[in-house]
This record gives sequence, C-alpha cells and structure tokens, in this order.
Amino acid sequence: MKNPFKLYPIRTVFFFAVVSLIVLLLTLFVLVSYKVSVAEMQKNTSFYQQNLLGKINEQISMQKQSVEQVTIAMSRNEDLQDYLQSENDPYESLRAISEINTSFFNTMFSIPIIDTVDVYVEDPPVRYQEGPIRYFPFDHYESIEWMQPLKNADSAWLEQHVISSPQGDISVVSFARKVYKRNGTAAGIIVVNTKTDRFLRLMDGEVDSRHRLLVDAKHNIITYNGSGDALASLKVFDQLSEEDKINTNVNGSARQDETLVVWSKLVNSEWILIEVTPWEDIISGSVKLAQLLLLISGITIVVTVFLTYYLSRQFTRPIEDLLRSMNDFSLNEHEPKLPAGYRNEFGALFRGYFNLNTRIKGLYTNLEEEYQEKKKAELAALQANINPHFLYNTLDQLNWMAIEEGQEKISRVLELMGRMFRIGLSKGETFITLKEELTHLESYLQIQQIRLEGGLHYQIFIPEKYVHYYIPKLTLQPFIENAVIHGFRGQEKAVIAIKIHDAGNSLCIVIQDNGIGFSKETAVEKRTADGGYGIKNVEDRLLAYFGSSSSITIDSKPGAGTTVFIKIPKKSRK
Amino acid sequence: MYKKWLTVLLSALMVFVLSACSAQQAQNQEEEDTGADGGKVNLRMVWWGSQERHDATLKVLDLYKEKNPNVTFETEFSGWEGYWDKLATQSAAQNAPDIIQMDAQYLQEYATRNQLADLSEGISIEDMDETLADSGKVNDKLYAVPLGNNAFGLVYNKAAFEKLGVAAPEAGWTWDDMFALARDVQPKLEDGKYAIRDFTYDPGVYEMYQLSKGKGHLTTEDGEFNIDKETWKEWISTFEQLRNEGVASPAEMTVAEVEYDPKGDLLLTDAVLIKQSFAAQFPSYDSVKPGAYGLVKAPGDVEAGGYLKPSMFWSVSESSKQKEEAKKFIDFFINDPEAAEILGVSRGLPVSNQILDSMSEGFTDSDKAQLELVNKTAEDAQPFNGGPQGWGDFQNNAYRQVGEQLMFGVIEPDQAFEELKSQYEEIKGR
Repeated sequence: MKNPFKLYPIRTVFFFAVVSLIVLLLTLFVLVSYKVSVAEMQKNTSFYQQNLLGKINEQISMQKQSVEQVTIAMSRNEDLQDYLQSENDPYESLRAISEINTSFFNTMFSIPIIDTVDVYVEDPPVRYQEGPIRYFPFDHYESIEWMQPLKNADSAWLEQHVISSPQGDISVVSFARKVYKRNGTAAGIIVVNTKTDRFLRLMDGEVDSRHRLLVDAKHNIITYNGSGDALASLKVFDQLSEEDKINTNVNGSARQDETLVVWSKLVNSEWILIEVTPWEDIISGSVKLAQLLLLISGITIVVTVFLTYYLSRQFTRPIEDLLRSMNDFSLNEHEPKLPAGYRNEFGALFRGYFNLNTRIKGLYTNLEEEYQEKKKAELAALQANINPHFLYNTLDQLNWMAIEEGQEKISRVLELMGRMFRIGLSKGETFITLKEELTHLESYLQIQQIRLEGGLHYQIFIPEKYVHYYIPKLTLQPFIENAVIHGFRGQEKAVIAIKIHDAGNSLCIVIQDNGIGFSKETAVEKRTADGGYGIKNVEDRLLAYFGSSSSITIDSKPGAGTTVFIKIPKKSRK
Repeated sequence: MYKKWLTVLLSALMVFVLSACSAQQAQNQEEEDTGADGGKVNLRMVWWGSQERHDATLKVLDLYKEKNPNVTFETEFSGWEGYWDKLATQSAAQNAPDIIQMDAQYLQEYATRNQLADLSEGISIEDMDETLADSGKVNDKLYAVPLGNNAFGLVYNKAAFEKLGVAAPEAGWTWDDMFALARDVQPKLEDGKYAIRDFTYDPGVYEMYQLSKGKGHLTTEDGEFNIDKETWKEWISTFEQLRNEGVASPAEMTVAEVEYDPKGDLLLTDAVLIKQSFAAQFPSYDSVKPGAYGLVKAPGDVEAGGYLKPSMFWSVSESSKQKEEAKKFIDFFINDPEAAEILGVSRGLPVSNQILDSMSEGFTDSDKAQLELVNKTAEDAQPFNGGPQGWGDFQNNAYRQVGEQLMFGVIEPDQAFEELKSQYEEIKGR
C-alpha cells in the first residue's frame, strides 16, 4: 500500500489522522471506563447486598426462632393438654378454652410478629371462629393445602397463604406444631400466623424494597417482596445450585441469566434469603456513565473536528499560498505575493523562495543580454564574411592587372596576399589547423622576401604529424610580423626559424630570429607605442580559450635575437 | 489568537476530568441519600368495632392522608375479643400504638398507670358538652377525647315483631314489661329461637336494672363494691327461670355468641329477638339488615335505668414518640366536617354540637334511632360512672366467668355473689 502521507493532501491526512486518533482514544476511554465501572458495580453490589442480606436474615432468623419457641410453650400448655385429654362437659370446655385463651394471649401479644393463632383440636368450641385465637376441627388440616408440610412432620413452616381477619384478607406466613396428648397421639395443631408484612418489612431492609426471596431448605418459597417474578427468581437460584456452581450453605453471590443473585444462609437457620437484581440495574449506573462519556466524547469530537480543520488550514495555508505563488510565477511581476508575518520555518521558506525568484530573474536578464550579444556577433560575422570576398575578388583583379602590366613581383605578392586572405577568413572559423597557419605564415614571409630582395631567410622545422592539430587562427603571425618589422635593422642576413616541441598534452611552438633583440624596458615602451597590440591580442585569446594550460614566453636580449615560446594544448578537433 | 484556542482546548480537557469526577460523586451521593425521612410520620392506631366502623374509619384515614401526605397509618382493628388483652400486653412492653380507642371502663386504669398522654393541650374540645368532655378526664387531666354520645338500651327485631303481630317495646316500659313481652312472644317462635338473650353475664344490663331499682351503680364513687345482693339474686333467678322456660337463650348458645358478627351474633342470626345494645352499636345491626331492627330505651322501674355515656374515646399512648401528630389527627377526627360526614354515627352521636347540628338534617333512620335513644335516655338519665381502676377487667373477666358458671348451673347464686365480691376486691387491690 502506498504511504498515505505521500499520496493525499497534507490537510486531509492531518485532519483525518488527528480526528481518528481522538476518536480512537475516546472510544478506548469510554470502553475502559464502562468495563471497569461494571466490574466495580458488581463487586460493590454483591458485597453490600451480602452484608445487608446477612443482617436481615439474622433478624428474620431471630423472629423465626422466637415463633418456634413460642409454639413449644403453647403446645405444652397445661390447659390445652387438659382440654385434649378429657371429655369435658360444656361449662368445663368453656372454662378450659377461656384459660387457654388467656394464657395464649399473654404469650402471643408479647411477640409483635404474631398476628393470630389457629388451634386445631378435635371438638373445637363453636364460638371462636373469629378473633386473635381461632379454633378449627383437627381433621380438617389434612384438606388444607398449605398445611400439607405438616403431614409428615412434627412442626413446619407453612408457605405464605391468605387468612381472613377483621382487616380483611391478609397474607400470613405460619409456623405449625403438632400437639401430642400425653399418650403420644397427635390430637391438635397450633398454627402461629405471622403477617407476611412483618417478614417483608424486615426483608425490605431500611433502604428500599428490592426483589428478595425467602426460601426454606427445600427451596420452597416462604415469601417474597418486590415486583419481580418470584418463581423465575427461584428458578435462577435453583439452576445455580443444581449446576453445583455454588454452595448454598454459606453466603455468596453469582451472576446467572442476566441477573445478579446474592444469597444469605445462616448457620442456625434453614432459610435462605435471596436477592435477585436484574443485570440492567447493576449496569445502569455504568450505562449512564458511559452515556455521559459518549455525550462528552461526541461534543469533544465535534470540537476536535472544527479545531483540527482550523489547525490543518492554518498549517497548510502557507504551503498552498506558496504553491499558488509558484503556479502564478511570472517574470513581469516584480515580487511574488506571499503572506507576511511568518517568522518560523514558513517564513524561511518564503524568504528562500523570494531569494530564489530574485536570482532566477537576474539570470534571466543575463541570459537575455547574452542572447542579444550573440545575435549582434552573428550579424557582425555575416557582414565580415561579405567584405573579404570583395577584397579577395579585388585582389584577384589586381593580380591580373599586374600580370598584364608585366609586373611579376606585384603579381606574386598579390597571389600570396590572396592566399593569406583565404586562410584569414577560413569561413569565420576560430580554430584552424597548424598547417593552414603555417601556409598563412609562409605567404607572409614570401611577401617580405620579395620586398627585401633576398635579405630574409626562414626555416620551418615542423614534422608532418603535428600539422593536423588545431590552433587559434593567427596565433603565430603577430610574432613573425614583429620579428620582420622590428627585429631586423641593418642585418645583411635575417633568419627566422620556426620549430616545434612535443610537450605531452601540449605543443610548444618556438619562433626564433637573429635580430637585434630587446631589453625588458624597451619591450614595455614599444608595446605602449605601437606593436604591442598584436601580441596582447594573442595572449588574451589564448587565455580565453585555454586558461592557464597555455602560455607565451618571450626570451630576448639586445643584440642576441629573440626567441618566443608558445605553449598550446593539443587539440585535434575544431 | 493562540490564547483563545488554548482556552478552548483546556476547557475541553476539563470537561473530561470533571465528568469523571462527577460520576464518582454521583455514586457517593447515592450512598449517602438513604437516611433522612423527610418528615414522614407513621401513626399506629387500634380500635375495636364492627365492619361498618372499620370502613368508615379507614375512609377518614384516607382523607387525612390526602390532606397530610407525610402521614401514614398502621392500623390494627378487631372486635372486642382480645382487644384489651392485646393492649395490656403492648402497654406493658412500652409498645402500645400511638392512638388507642379507649373505653370508659378502662380509662381509669390506663390513665392512673401513666400509660396515656395528657391531651389537655392541642385538641379543640370547645364544641363539646362540658359533662361529656369531663368524662375523658382523670384527676382533672384530659386523657381521652370522647368520640360520641352514647346510651345503653335494648335492640330488638322490629321486623319479626311486626310479622308476629306483637307490639314493639316502647320507651317508658319496665323490666317486668320486658319479661312479660318475652314470655308472650316465645310460644310464637320456632324451636331453637328465643325471645330474649340471657343477660346473666352482662354487668352493663344488670347495672341498669340495679339503677332502676334505685340501688345505684355497681360501684360507689369511692370505688367500693356496690352490687346489691338481693336485687342481683332477683335478676339472676329471673333469668334462670326464663332459661328454664325456654324464653331466654340457653347457656351454650349465649357463650358461643360472637357479637356483631353476621354469622355469630344471636340477634343477627335471628336466634333471639331482644338483646342489649349501645346506641353507638346500632349501625352494626342496621347495616346488616337495614330497617329490620329497632332501638328502645332501657326499661325502668322506680327510677330510670338508662344513663348517658361517652361511646368511646381516642387516647394517645404515653410511650408514643409522635404525640403532637397523634393529637393533630384526633383534633381532625372530631372537628373536621368532612370526616364527620364520613363517620356519621359509627362511634355514636358526634361530640361536636356544631357538627351534630349540621348533620342532623341528613340523618338516616338508623341515625335517627340512635339520636332518639340518646334523647329519650337523656330525659331522666342516671349519672354516668365509668368505674374505678380495674373495673373493665372485672366486668369482662370476673363477672363474665361467674355469669357463665351461673348459666351452666355449676354455682349457687349466693356462692356466686361471694365470688364476685372477692374477685372485685382482688382486682381492685392490684
């Protein structure tokens, strides 16, 4: 995959990078907060619920025990025993019942949890079907549904059921105990009814009424409060205990089926108090927290989007400005339009670009000037090409005139001059072969021989292998001319020798004469006077073409002739 | 520019930090917000009575709760049976309800044992008859607020009398008239039905008999035993004869009665035609079979037998922690016109004269019968004597037991009288 930092605009990359980073961080933050808080909530909830349930269960257990103990006392009541024992006449029965009532009243009213007492005896008194103590026929109990646990037990807690009372129908939880005659047969039952409200009030605790469930050792529901479905909750608890995940003999908690089940079992009580909390309730705080965080995150993201958009604009605008400026670049405009006030890297960039621009414009101007010069030179060269042809043609005509006049010398001179012109023009070329240069030199020397009538001799010692090297046009001629014009005064026999040395990469051309020579002082005077121009010209040209790899050395003493050494790099092409 | 954006960034950061903090705080707050009650008042309240009274009272409680949303009630209401046993145990355990329905025969006992709060302040009794208001005072302190005017009389099955073509009893009759009427009617009744309920073990009815004979109340003002032996033996033997003649209800039937219970009350089950009743209890009968029963003034002899008494009282337990709220409720109960309208005469004729006047127009026949009994009794009423400390216990237990023994014939009247006397001394000495 291609690097997006190279592929997409900086602004887009910057914007999406920052925004996605923030979104990622926030999401992580919200998720972690949620997870941690759910875990904490579960821990706290089960801890506090266990504590609370333990306390409540202790209270319930105390109530339970007090009820159980009371029934023992009641079942051993002497009056009740007497009543069961004997066939009484009506008055004695009435008295016995009255005594039983008085004694039961004293007991039951001293324990607030007891609502009413039902006594099942054979031959119950007619009157007492209402009131705090009620009497029912003993054999009826077998047909009462909620009395069934008593069939095979001496005593049992009976599950929540409804009895009628002056307050209307009320729900009670009862403890029943069989009463045995002295001969050991069961002849009665004492049922102590406790208002379910009493247990529920205990189960509600002090804070609020949660969904709590009181079950006996066999997991039969004794009573429950809260709005939840008691059977469903019991099922959850049963599942837990069946799967052997939990030990129901001690306090504990577990999560099951989207609920948190916490229970309390006391050592001295068979009852288990269970609290079932829907999982939504546990996490509702966390959900709220997460929602709040999400809301804040949302706001933050919106702010971040705007902020990042603004920032990315701020960062990339100078670059865009620079780009636009580059695209709009024009030589005619004096200064590129760039934002001012940047003192940082952007400022440096702008200044750099500005400087670059200035230099480019300078170069442009130079180039233009050079171009103009070149044009002029080309024109001049063209013009120069035309003039020599006239001269050449004129010379040719002059030669013919001299031949017709019989002037052989003049004709010869004109012929040599023509040759010199031709080489001098060389079709405008700057470099010519050494051979051509030598031809030009010889032509000149022959003209001088003719003029001097045998007083001038010259020798050229240049092997054939060097003549194909190129040298700047008319490099040697000025020195020969100097020698001829200034070197020979009064000599009967003037000699000029031209030699060549191979100096590796360079050619060393030596021009030697036997003329009068000169001292350095005179050389300086002469140059300023007249003949210096030609040599200076050669020096300049050589410097221009070859630089320091070329040199001109003049060795001369008055009366001992002059030797000129010209060093030129070998050049086998034009 | 820089500063501005820095501020924005910082505040965004702050929002994060704060949100985390506030979540923590919310949690803490939740843990703290559990203690305060916010002025919630829960009043425990007990009374005895019949279904009709229960219903009316509960309605008044609803009305009060509506007007005082911070108040809730925890009510225990029952019949007369076991009421005083329970209250005695609760009082002994300092666990008595805040508001207690009190009866005259127990007032002395509870007040002198310091189990009732002084109600002299905080409840308006200006509209009440002074004598009535005084009936709730013990040693000049108001311990019980009377709830109604009451008179003891007899209730009879008016419809049955009409059907049998026998003239119904009228005010001004004598005890002999009553016995004669019973004997007249009995032959016309089916088997298992009786003209009159046996009053052998009802001290209240006997008290009227003794009063009409000019022998005074059953106790003296000083709290001395004042049952006149001769008069009492006369009374006992009369009923023994009536039982033997099959005119008065037999012992087994009498002791099995559950008063005011449609299935247990001898009058309501048509087992007897005449029995005793307070004016204030009349609605308990009339509500079961409207118009079937009549109230008649207690028979007289040389003097009138009847007397006016406060029907019942509201008292506040001394152990109550909410006495002011309890008083506020009682004040509402006796003085509020709306409450009075709901209550009607379920606790006797309203004690506030103003309310009684405003209500009289809308009185039903049942209400009018009550009013009439009170008015008729008032003409020549005997003074009221609530009885000394322990009197309630004596009436409900000792007298009753002795009465039962007499009815079942296991004791001779002379012996029974001695038993009563010694029982009284014993109870009084407690």
